[in-house]
Amino acid sequence: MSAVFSCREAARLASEAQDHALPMRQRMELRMHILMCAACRAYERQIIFIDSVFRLRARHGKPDLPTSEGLDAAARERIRARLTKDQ
Amino acid sequence: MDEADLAFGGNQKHTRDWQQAVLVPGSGLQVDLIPLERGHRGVVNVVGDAEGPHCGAIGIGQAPDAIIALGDGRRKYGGLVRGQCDDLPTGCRQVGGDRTQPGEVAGAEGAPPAAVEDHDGGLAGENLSEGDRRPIWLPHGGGEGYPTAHGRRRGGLRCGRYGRGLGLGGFNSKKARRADARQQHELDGHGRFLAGESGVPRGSYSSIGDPGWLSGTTTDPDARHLLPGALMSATPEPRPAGTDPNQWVDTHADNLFRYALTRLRRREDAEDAVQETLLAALQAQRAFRGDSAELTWLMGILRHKIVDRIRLTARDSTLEALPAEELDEWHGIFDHWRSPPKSWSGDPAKLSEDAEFWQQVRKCFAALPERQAQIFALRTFDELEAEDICKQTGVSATNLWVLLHRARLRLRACLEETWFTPESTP
Repeated sequence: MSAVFSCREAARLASEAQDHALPMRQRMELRMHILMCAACRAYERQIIFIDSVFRLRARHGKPDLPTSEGLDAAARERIRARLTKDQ
Repeated sequence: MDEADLAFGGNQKHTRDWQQAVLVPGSGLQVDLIPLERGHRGVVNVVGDAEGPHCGAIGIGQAPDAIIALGDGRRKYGGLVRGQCDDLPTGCRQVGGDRTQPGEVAGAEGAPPAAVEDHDGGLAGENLSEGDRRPIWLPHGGGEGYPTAHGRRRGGLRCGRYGRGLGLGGFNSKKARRADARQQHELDGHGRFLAGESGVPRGSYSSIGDPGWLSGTTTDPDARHLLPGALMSATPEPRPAGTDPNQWVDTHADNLFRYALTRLRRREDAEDAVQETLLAALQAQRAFRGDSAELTWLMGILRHKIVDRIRLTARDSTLEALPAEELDEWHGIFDHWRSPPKSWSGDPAKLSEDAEFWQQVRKCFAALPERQAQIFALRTFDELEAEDICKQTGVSATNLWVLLHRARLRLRACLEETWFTPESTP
């Protein structure tokens, strides 16, 4: 826990840092906070973990989540008919 | 003729009578576009013996072969520019004329930025053959210009290689229009393009010959369900050669459906998106070919369909009124962590292939609010940069960060509880 700013702020910045380059000042504050705060340090690792596990799955050719559902027969037929009509 | 593109469209300004000339530098061609109306469907009649891709430019609301008197002469509106690409899909050229040096034509802004009435035109370019009558959907007054290699949005059709930007048309906001108007090409009094920025070649034309195109339009209301969304914006990849659209449903429907379902949640929406995607692919398939795998190509189209949906719903959603603070407590932070995040064991690479883990992720992901889930999927699965997500969906950067932040907070809380607790850690 840091005196610089709250964990809430640190968590927000840790997330933002994944999406754009933080301004220098914010970056420094975040690094300072994370240096001192084990929880936020763990949090930052966790969100990096989550982001990368999603990306890795996509890179294995599965940019989606597992589902037992498939396109059902009726929808299939409908789409097929639509495509044929258009062709 | 390396990377020549033809481009048509762009903003239509001032009056409904005529609009900007779109030029094909070096070809002697000029295409005058008339306002394209929202949601209009037209049919391009293909004439001549040229092989595609042809770049369609149809005058909406005009009878086929409409001729409109315009000051110094008569001009034909709408229609199809006969084009030929000897090296598909790298470029187009005029057939029958002097083939000098086709250059890039941007969605030209022939009219000054002081718009009285704006119409955004969006046209589809396709690989067509003689006798074809192909419906073209003109979405949303043109839809949003796709960010091009030049890093800006641009109206109109481009027919040519992806990577230099495919065609669509129009601009989304007045502000964007004004910005683009400054950047885009203007015509000077001699009919030359004035390059609006570096990197765009200058072109010129001398006279308007008979380009030999015809046009037809229709207002078939039945077609409105056909291709909502920006058709051509949804064609990001060249189509791989040698595959049969008749097989698409059998081969790819489940993968596409799963992709769509992950992001859209509702079965019906996912089914619709798959159908739209395959129809758009069918429309585009003759014009493009390339090396990317078919499924990848189709998924690229689907992704654009989904992005279109996000963009269309973003405006009226509660997105702009994100409650700033209240939600955080739910996720376990209120100034300080209630239950501090723990150190997770496990290797992302291994977990990424762990079916059981993904079953759990699916549950956590399903608990996310829809918008958070969509954006998070774009950011991770689709590996889009935050900046690109903003551009494509119209979500502001600040809101995007907030959405991603909340998605991460929820996902990590859920996964920590359900997967990474000591009992269940593998």
